[in-house]
Amino acid sequence: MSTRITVEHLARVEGHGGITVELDGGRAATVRFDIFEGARLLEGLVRGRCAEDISQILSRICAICSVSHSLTSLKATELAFEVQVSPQTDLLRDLLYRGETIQSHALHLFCLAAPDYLEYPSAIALAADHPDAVRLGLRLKKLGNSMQEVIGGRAVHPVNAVLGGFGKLPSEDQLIALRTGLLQAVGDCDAMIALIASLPAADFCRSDTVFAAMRSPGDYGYYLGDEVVVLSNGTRETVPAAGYRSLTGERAVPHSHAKHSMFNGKPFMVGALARVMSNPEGLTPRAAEAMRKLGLTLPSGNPMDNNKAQAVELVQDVEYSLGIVERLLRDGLAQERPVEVRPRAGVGTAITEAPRGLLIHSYTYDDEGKIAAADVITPTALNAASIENHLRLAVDQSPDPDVPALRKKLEMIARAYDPCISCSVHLIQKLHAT
Amino acid sequence: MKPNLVIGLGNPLMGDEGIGWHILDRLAADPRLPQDTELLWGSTDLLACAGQMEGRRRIVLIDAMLDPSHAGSVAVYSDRDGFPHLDEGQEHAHQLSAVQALRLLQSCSPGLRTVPVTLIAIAIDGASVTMELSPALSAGMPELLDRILRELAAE
Repeated sequence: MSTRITVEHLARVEGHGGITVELDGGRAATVRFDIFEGARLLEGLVRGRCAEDISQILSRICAICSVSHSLTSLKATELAFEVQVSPQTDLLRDLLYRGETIQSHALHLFCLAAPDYLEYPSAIALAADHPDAVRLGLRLKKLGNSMQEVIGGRAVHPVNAVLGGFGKLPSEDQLIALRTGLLQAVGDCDAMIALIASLPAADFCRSDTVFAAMRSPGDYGYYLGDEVVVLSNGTRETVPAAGYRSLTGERAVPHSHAKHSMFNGKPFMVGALARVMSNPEGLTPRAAEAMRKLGLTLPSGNPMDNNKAQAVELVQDVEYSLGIVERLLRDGLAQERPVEVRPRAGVGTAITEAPRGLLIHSYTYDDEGKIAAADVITPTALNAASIENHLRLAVDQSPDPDVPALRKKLEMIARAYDPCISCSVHLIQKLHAT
Repeated sequence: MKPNLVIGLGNPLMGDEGIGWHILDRLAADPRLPQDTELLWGSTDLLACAGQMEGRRRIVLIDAMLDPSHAGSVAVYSDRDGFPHLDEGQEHAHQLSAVQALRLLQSCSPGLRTVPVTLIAIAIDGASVTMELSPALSAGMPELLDRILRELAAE
């Protein structure tokens, strides 16, 4: 006898997604991670546009990841035009990126994932009983948004980051205020780790997961880098950004508007866990200690560990950002103007690490310096096949055939990936009359 | 007390869904905008606006509402009435709906609970990838602005 589990609307992920599993004799006959969101075709919006418009338009793909899209877009265009930005610009972009990661991870851990572990239907219900926990998460999110405001000029959709550099630099007073906020956040991170460590264990499936993450040339970073590291069964391969198609191997699937990606025929996971897996030596001592407290051991075959990895990155980013701000205050900011950019024909492919994983922007510019073709591949699209793989394994490895319990496990696995199906639509819907 | 704050919600890449954003663009250039009013382009993340919401005399949110049968119409909801006609059960937009985000912020920030919040919802019949508003909403923009400015002037 077959049983069907359907999660028509997966709550607490962004966008319209769902899960369909058909069980046959306790095993998964069919597993689908459905993405109902209409085809985005956002690349079409930038075709024929001038270089300086692109990052502003594409940053609006997503309010949570607007910095990722903006900076990856700038990086791709600068590569196409062979523009070399200053070390100060790289440093400020790094800091801006960390602000985004802090606010995104705080939101996911406290408002989207924590209710699952503590058996609450939503963050609002959780806040009623555990207001201090939710306040802690919102404080960290606010700090990340403040970093985006100080460096990027806005909490959402930064405007200061422009081609060749920054249109406006932060003032010393702003940096001092940021340092104060980051110092307070060091204590908040200790409380955050204690809280996450106290959550019930979640271990629903195990696999030899393939991971992919950008190789950071310096420390543990999200912005600088031009190669992807792929970890598979103890092997380590690198793929240059320009050869991203050999990594993604995108193929359309009938049940989803997002294409599925496979590397050498295998789905792969991107995101915080992939980053920690690929670069554990880049973690600060505090972040490494947080990893120990959380019981996160490597290599990990448990996709739920992505939540722990996000907590580790929160510690990492607060500490690392504090170091950057102190350095900027000590050395002072050079009042430099953006490097001159001369639009021309060219191709630029940039990779960065958005909060939920590898992000790829690839542009082709024509002779007039206008976009002839654009390709944007998001982490959730890269993860879609891996999510399905882990859902299937969770069903097959589940000792408990209880359907409601299994359904909850499946939802938690999908949410652990922190999927961002689309931030593009958030319509208010009227209550149906009853 | 800080000035009134008007937050425009929505994604300008998604056609009519970005109406809140477009209206703020128009308000910024409108001499009738009441003094002591600040504008904030909130996009789709109201939680990110938290830092600017506390201590306001009044907050006005402008957002799109999916209601094809009344596209172009304006509905005004007051926080004091508990936004009774809106579905608070939805949870997407990578996080929470505007109403849910507001509820969460209010539950964790006592300073926000005393700030009156008005939601101005503009009915649309759908969203699609374009940076332009539909002809119907574009044509109705002067009327929409009049309606919103009247609401902003009311205390």
